[in-house]
Amino acid sequence: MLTFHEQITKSLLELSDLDRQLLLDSIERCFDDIRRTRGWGMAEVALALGVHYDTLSKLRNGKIAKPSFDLVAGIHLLAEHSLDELLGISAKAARNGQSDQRLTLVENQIKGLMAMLGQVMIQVGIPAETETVAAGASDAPIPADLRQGVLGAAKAGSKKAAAEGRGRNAALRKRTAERDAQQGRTGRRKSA
Amino acid sequence: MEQYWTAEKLGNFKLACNLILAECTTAFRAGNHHKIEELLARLEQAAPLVKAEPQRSTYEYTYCLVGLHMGILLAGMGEFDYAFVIAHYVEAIRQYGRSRRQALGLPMLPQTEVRYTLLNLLGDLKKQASLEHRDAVLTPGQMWEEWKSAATRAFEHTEPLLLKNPQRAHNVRHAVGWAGLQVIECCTRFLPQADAARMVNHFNRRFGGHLAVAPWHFRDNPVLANSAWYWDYEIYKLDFLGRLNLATLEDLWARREAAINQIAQETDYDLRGFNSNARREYRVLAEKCKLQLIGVARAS
Repeated sequence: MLTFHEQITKSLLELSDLDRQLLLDSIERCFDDIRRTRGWGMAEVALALGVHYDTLSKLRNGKIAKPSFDLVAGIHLLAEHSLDELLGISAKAARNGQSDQRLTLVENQIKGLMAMLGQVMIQVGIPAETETVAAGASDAPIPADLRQGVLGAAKAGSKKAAAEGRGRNAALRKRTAERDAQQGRTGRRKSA
Repeated sequence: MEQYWTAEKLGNFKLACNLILAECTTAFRAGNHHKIEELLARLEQAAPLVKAEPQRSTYEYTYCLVGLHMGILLAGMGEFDYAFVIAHYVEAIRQYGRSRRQALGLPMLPQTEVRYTLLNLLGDLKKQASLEHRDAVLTPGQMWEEWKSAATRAFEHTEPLLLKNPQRAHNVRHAVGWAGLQVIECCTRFLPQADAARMVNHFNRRFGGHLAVAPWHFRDNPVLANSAWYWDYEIYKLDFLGRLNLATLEDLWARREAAINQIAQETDYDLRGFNSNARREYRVLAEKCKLQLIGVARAS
């Protein structure tokens, strides 16, 4: 029996040349948006997805005949695309009569994935078939007091630095005020 | 243990953790501590969902790294106490993870990146903070032993990468070297000079000769390696001895910057170690030099 990932990957990749081109176009749009919104190049995307830079390069050049689901979906998630584009490609392939049952599975799985994504990105993970429950599994992964120790110090330190006019926002405000002063501007900045 | 270095397939869980770490790296480069705080809160929300191995270990690893990056930013803003608290809890999380894996009969994870990032933070903090923090979290001697072990592991891991992905390999080695420099500077402050000399020699054997034991080395040696590590350590030694004046600081800092710029032009290395917190460090050193000047003027 195929695993969750194998089922989706197999379905996604049994596409016609036309659909593969659509997939490549969709990936290009994702890269454009990732660059625009996050300022990330291919190196950062490769780091985020845990793949080699060359893999992304080959994917964009259409040299990977069978890209993995993780890779394709990961690029869409990074671009904050809703994965509808992937669904669109799948639906088109289904209309072409190439596959129906498998693509329905893909759509359902991606919709399920989207629902899991919800507000907490990390919920994407934990594929059911790899879940081997360990002893003490009912505990949180790290004891709450240790987590709260890190989070509490981070919050308090960040707040104190901000209150005392240090840190990134304070530095930005200071630079803006200096620039405004140089240009002879006073009072509240008006939006264009 | 090798399998844990080679991106073992953990499905989408690993992807999600990598996304968080990538966002953390971007936020760290931009000095955006609010974003890293948000990432920690996001990990906190996800905590009840993580119940199985190997996801639990991956989660711990991600949590520690994000926390440490927050600690380094806080140190850069002068919030030493909070940064020490983070270092303390990260070490506690690491020890908890080790004992949990041991109890389950699972192999120990090397967690090299967490180790050298923690040492980087501790070294940076201890070389600047008050003397009472000497043995906080780890003693200087323990820090040195930890660094040696982490550096050995990192070099073993990056050996095959040198051909396949040289940029990644050099980035890892660079980060390890930067952490080593912080540890050596911390040990120079707290340990006998003979120990510091032994450490410098070890570092030079590992990285190909960058540091010099003697203060004023740059003045007595006309031919110098154009190494940012070298200039950083020269500045630290003079500051530690109270012999740094504003003119020397400006001269040495300019040479340090020139060395960093040269590396940036010739390679694609990730130079965040050199650049993070550098502006604050320079400002603090310059203020110390000015205070010394005022002191000298008053005394005369």
